[in-house]
Amino acid sequence: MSKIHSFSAGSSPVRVTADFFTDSHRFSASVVVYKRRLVDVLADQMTNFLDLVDVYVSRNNDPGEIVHTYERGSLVKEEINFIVLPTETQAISKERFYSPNRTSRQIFLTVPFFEIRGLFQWMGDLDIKKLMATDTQKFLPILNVNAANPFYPEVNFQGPTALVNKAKIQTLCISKSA
Amino acid sequence: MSNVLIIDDDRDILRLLEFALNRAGHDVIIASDGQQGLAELEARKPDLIVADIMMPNMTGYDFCKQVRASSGASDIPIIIFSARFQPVDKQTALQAGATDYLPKSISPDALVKRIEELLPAAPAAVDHKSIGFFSLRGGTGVTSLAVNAAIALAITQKAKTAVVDLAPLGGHAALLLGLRPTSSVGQVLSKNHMLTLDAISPHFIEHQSGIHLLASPLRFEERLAAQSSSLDQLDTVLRPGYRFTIFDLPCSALEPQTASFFQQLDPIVVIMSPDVPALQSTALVLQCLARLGVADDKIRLVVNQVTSQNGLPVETIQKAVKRPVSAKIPFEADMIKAVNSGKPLLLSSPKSAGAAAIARLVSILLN
Repeated sequence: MSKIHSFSAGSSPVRVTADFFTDSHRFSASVVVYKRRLVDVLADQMTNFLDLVDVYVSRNNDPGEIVHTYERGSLVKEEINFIVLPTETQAISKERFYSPNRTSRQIFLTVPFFEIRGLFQWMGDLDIKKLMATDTQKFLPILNVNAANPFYPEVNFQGPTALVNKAKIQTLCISKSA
Repeated sequence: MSNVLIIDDDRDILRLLEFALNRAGHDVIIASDGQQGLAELEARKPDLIVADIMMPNMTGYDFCKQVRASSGASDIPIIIFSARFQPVDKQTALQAGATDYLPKSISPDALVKRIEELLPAAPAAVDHKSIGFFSLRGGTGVTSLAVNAAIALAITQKAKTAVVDLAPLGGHAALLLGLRPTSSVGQVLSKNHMLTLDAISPHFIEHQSGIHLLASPLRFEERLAAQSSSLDQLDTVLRPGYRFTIFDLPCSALEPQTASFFQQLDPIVVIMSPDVPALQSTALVLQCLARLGVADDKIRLVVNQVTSQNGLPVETIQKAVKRPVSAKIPFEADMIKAVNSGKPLLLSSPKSAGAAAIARLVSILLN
């Protein structure tokens, strides 16, 4: 059964639609990734900006309401707290996609204005320093994610995957088992 | 098959959903933004709308609000189908007037399934009844009962009801209803082409009670020479347009070639007056109907113009014809007044015993 989000006709460039969260806003927008994955576009050190198309702006205290819409936008990668994606695929680098013997762990972390819970998958021995290193991947993939705003408890976001900006992580807790 | 309006600025999504819905047997109307969607809604009256949230010029939320504010489309199901898939998005969509909310991550088949669940149910097959009123003996009040029963059905059941006066010439249904028909069943059945409801409708004349009459011919040139096939066809064609069709049947209708038409009627009300000639005629009618293949349980025997004096007792009638009498209609002096004034008893003397008995007869016919 085909999934609509994976449909791409003819030569249309591949677009990934996701929710991008900063301290104050939610941007529902698409990124043209061509043959790459979003996580690889985010890791691209050639630019600090993420080009968005069809941008729908909401405020974090009222994230259902769309306050502005724009055809194009540019988001400073460093200012992204986390991104909620509709599928797991775009959160895993092409280079790392096949990785056997993964261990799943419950993870809890905080970024500005949000606490995030989910599953974290790791290979081999868990080393927090390695995990938080930003030299290659700047965003940490979390599965089965639930992100809540502690100031507005009714505001929470769920999804199969989120990419959390490692540079924005304030606290990180991992359980011993899944 | 239903018309589904899809509104999305993503051409790939439009093509995919159009394919999936066409494959499921639905017609698809496409719009690339909310404004175009509103125009298509006005022009094409779809059965259901699938709308994206993130669209240029007008969001799906605003589209929903405008649809709900419009007078003609406030009830149409709207499915919001969006890449914004958070619980708060669903809540916002429902508050804006959407019927349901589905994320774009679901499969097209799942969307089609939900669309089909929300589509307005097709009108249920109308529980149609074609009822015949018949007697071999003249003066038993067949037409009076047929007309009054039709009015009772139209009023109590709030249902479209037609009366077809099949008297070959000069039937009295129009007279009893105070109508002056300009067309007749003779004109309808004289056409040498397939009958359709649209073609027949202009020949009906509407009574103030709401019933529609297809009158008997009033001119010799239009006299009815109905063949079995044309009566069958007339009955069949009227079924989708009317909940009840009342056929006022003349003596001449009882012919071998009309057997299939009589078999279509359910029930056939055989009317007699409480006298010996009527009893003899009724016994004959029952034999003839059996010979024509009419199922016994479709026949309802009604004794009309029952008086407390001199008439044959109902028990005697039942014993003679070996079947129960379904209803007794008392002799009603007001009926004569009703006939002469062109105002049916049900409307002119609704509280009379005769009117009450006709109302009971109608409930018996419905059961």
